[in-house]
Amino acid sequence: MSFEENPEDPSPLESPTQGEDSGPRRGKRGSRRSLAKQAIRRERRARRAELLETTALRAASIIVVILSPALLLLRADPSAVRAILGAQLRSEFRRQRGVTERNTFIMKLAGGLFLGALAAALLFVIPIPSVWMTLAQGALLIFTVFGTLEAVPHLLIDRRDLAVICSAPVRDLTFFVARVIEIIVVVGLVIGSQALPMFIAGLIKWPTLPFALVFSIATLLSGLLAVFATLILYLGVLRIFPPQRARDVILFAQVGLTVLLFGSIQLGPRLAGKQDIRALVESATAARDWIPPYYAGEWFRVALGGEMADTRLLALAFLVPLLAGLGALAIASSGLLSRLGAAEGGGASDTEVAPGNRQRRGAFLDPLVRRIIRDPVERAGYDQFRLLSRRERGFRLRTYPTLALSVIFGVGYLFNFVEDGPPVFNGSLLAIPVYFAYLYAPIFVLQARYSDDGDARWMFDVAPISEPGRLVAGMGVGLALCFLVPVSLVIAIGVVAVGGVEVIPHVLVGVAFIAFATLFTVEKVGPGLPFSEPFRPQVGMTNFGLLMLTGVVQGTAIGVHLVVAMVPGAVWGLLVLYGVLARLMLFRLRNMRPREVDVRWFPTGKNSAAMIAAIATARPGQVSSVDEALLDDPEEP
Amino acid sequence: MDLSTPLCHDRGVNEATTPPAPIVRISELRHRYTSTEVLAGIDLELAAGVVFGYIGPNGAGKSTTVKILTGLLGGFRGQVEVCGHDVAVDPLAVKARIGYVPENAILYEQLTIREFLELVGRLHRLPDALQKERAHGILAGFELESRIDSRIQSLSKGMRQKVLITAALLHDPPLLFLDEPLSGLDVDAARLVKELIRALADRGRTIFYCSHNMDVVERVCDRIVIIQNGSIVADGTYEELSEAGKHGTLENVFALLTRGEDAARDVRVRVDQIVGSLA
Repeated sequence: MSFEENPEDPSPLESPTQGEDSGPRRGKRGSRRSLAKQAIRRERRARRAELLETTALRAASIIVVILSPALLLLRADPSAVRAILGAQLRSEFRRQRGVTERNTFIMKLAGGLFLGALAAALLFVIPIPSVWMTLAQGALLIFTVFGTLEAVPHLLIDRRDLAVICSAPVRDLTFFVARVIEIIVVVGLVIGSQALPMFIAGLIKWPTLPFALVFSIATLLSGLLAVFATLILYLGVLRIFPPQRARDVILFAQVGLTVLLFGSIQLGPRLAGKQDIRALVESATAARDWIPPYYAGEWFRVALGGEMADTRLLALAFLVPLLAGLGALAIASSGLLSRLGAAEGGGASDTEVAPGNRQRRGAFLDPLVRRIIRDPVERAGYDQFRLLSRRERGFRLRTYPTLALSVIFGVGYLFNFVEDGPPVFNGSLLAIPVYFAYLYAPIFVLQARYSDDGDARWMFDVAPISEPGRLVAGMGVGLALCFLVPVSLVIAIGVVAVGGVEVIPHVLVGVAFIAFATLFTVEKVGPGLPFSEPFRPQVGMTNFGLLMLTGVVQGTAIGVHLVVAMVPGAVWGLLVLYGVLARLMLFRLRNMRPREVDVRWFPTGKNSAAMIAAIATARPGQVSSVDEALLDDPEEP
Repeated sequence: MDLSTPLCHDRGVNEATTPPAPIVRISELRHRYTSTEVLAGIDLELAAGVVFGYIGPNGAGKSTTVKILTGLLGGFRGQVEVCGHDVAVDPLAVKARIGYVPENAILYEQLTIREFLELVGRLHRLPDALQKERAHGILAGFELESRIDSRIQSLSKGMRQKVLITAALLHDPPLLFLDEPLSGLDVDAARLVKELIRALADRGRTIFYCSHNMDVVERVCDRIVIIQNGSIVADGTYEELSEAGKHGTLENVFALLTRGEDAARDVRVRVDQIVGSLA
């Protein structure tokens, strides 16, 4: 039996009208050719997606066949594994296509190729084979751990089939094995795309069979180790903590690991006295047993004819993933389904807020907020953003690490002055890290549109809101006051600690810029109602172009600051200027027209014409929203 | 919440001297999704202060009608006036005067009841004090006041339904759209809501009630309209409909009108088919 019995089955998640939404956008007669081109492109995309789906299903089928004896030994049911896997993989890959038929899984693979190529280019200068292999496998292990951390929660606790499986006579291990294979297939495709450029680069350097063998096997083992280690972490947390708390613990683990990784890259070499990476890798002999990428490095050294000096390392290369796998199986062998069912169902007691405590967090901002926001609708936008930005798991996962990164970059920058003495220029040079708080602002704005409960936007749609810009303005104020300005103030404290009180005016200019730039970004990145679109896992963190643009704005602001600082006292003028600009930007947000915010706010009788007008003027960030609006209202000719 | 205040902030509704203007006036309403005509010319006038049952089989066009009346769906043909305002021209005026309890509504799970009601109140520009007073009053009636600081994700389906009804009543609208409002409610709560609907109607509010539950429609509604394939196939009080059908219960009338004379035999055939496939 194979999985691809009926590859033509349309997914129940796909709309029959999807992809037919671009007619009105083109408008006039000359658009026929472009429509035909679009149809061809759509067909190609669909064929690629089908190929990917079929490949994944075949891979999973082969894995199940190979593992059948072992599954029977574990008393897992191979046919049930196959059934669960088949349904899940089909559903997963079709979901990845999304409503706009852009297969984001293929984009993920392209991203993996890019990341792998970047790592390969960086590693190309390393001449020592074992060091190269250690660093390459280290990079792959990190990529995989992050990929798995992201994939495991939504693949393991998948609402779509969990209720059915929990109520069927399925053993814990049968279910677990099915999920593990699914995770391996999904994550494996991404790892493959990341590993490919490194493999090619390595093959150019060492065009030998030993390289090909060691790299391939090491990559497979790294992948398995990452998957099993992540599963142990997740299953362990599920065992120790109550279901709802477990989700938070995992979230903090994800955020913590991200910060640790980037923090160690940024601050590690400084703290280690600026040794180069190669020296660090070569010198860490004592810790080798505990760092799996070393195993691959040792194997490669031996495979190229080196002396077999450390057989323990060679054995660990196989033992560690095996032990991790057994550990995960042991934890999963009892009570897994009931715990996952509970995690899915939620628990009342953990989510309650004690009466009287609700105002504690952020209450100190209230007097300031009341001064800035007087309109109730604007206040609704502010509160909506403030509350959900603290509680929405997806939002926190995608944005919180960036706050820590801004601080880490700031601290890293300040190290220069701690080590090299006071700045030679003036205080403005020292205040530069305050601007770092703005670097990731677009990520916040983009992610603030999505929510696990985005379909709850009907409550906005049914409310009599004549100025939706007020809601966006409230969100902008929330983003500035609750996130970016506080982060800039934290960095500012470090700056003042290093530079003394004379840098305070420069620091204030930086903070004022952050306030203005936040509102500016909300307006420019494509405003929408806060948390009003259903969250889709395939929505990327952000786009690189936007981050580059943010960098340009930030760089320009820093440049202006440095120039203005040459004129004594002029820095106060800049402070006032940013204050005025922030005020104007808030005014602009409040007065945005409905179609600038969201097309579904149009008076309903004018929907058709208004939507077409909106499409004509839509910004890149709004296009998907326009598409969906058309799909929602498919009476369009 | 003061239910004894005069009904409408709107022109022409519930005036003592002249016959009240209809609170909902639909004329030749048509709507199509791609090639399918969902509404094929609905004509309807609804007086204030009635409980109006709007029933029909799945796909008959009930939800589409409600979406149009609540200003959520455009692109229709025909004339639709709600509380004296043309929905196509001034949907915001309509939205200000209606309350809506959708079926299977998604809510922001991470908000507490208090936060959710504050949000709704602010979107309707209710003064904070009034919103709080009303929210506490309604929630107390639903015995939910002690859970006001619980997150919505921790609530049962019935509790969520009560929160939705609270949100719909918060701004004291003259017209309420209730789509399966008893869904998930226990016996006590369902009885409470039925009584509440009656009480609201007695105080001049109009209830537009969509449901598949014939027993409830039969007992609660003053006037019942049955639609099928986008057209009205019956319109009258329960007594009128059951008399016309001579079949007793509303369920029988409904089956007769939507599935024809052979409805009962048809059901038996299908049951036999299902049971037979299990053998």
